[in-house]
Amino acid sequence: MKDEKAFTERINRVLNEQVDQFDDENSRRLKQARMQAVEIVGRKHTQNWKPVIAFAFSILLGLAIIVWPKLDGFNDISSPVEDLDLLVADDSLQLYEELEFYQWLLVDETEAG
Amino acid sequence: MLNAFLAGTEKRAYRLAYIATQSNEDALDLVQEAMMTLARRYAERDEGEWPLLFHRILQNKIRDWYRRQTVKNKIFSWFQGDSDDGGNIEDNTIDTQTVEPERALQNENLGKAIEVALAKLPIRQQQTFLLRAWEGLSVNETAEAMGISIGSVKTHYSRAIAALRTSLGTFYYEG
Repeated sequence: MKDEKAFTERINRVLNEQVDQFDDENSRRLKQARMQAVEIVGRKHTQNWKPVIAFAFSILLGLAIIVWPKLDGFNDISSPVEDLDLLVADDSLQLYEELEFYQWLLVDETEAG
Repeated sequence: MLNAFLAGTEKRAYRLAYIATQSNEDALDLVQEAMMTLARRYAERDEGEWPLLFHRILQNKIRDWYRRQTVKNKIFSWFQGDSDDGGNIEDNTIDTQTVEPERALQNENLGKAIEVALAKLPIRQQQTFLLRAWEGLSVNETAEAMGISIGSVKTHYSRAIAALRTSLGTFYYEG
């Protein structure tokens, strides 16, 4: 048993030496093979996300189709920027300044009519 | 992670495959295929499982290679009109060696002598010996890697030791 252990250890030592003395060309080819294998894992990770992204996109698309028509009413309402333009416009200010005149005119027309 | 594991394993895997096939190209192909299979099917598994999975894949590849070679040899023998029917995986080796171990020992080429002695072993004895003695796998792990029973591992291993002792007699008794 002791002899057997020593025997296998000697064989192991020789086999280990052969591994240590590995030639460059085979090392290069093994490295190339390893890189291809690692690349497969990288591609797999990307592919794993594809269904998730597609699902999320379809959900968003569905929501957009359902919700968009309901938002149409809001589209008629002027945006705050447009309101601001109206408020800032000179003619509006003139209208407010002459508001009393227009009120008098309205009353006068009503009485005349 | 997988890159580091394969980098630490590839050269020893190549030696295992080379001793089985005695062909540089075939050994490189088998290791590459084993790497690809591990990456494709088992990369998500726990890292601790990779060594045994890799050995199992490589052993399957070696076994498939051996079967293909046996079929090729049978066809070749048939065309040659040879009555030798090839043999089975348990009892036969690919006879690619012409150098006798004793002669190589006389040339003090111990590495070559060991390589020749291992190459002359039946494939299952050879791989059982390498997995148990060199890779340090337990009997159970070797059985799992090779897809054989624990009893078969023990039998193949003891037969391999006996055959190597005969082939490398001088080397065996040297200190």
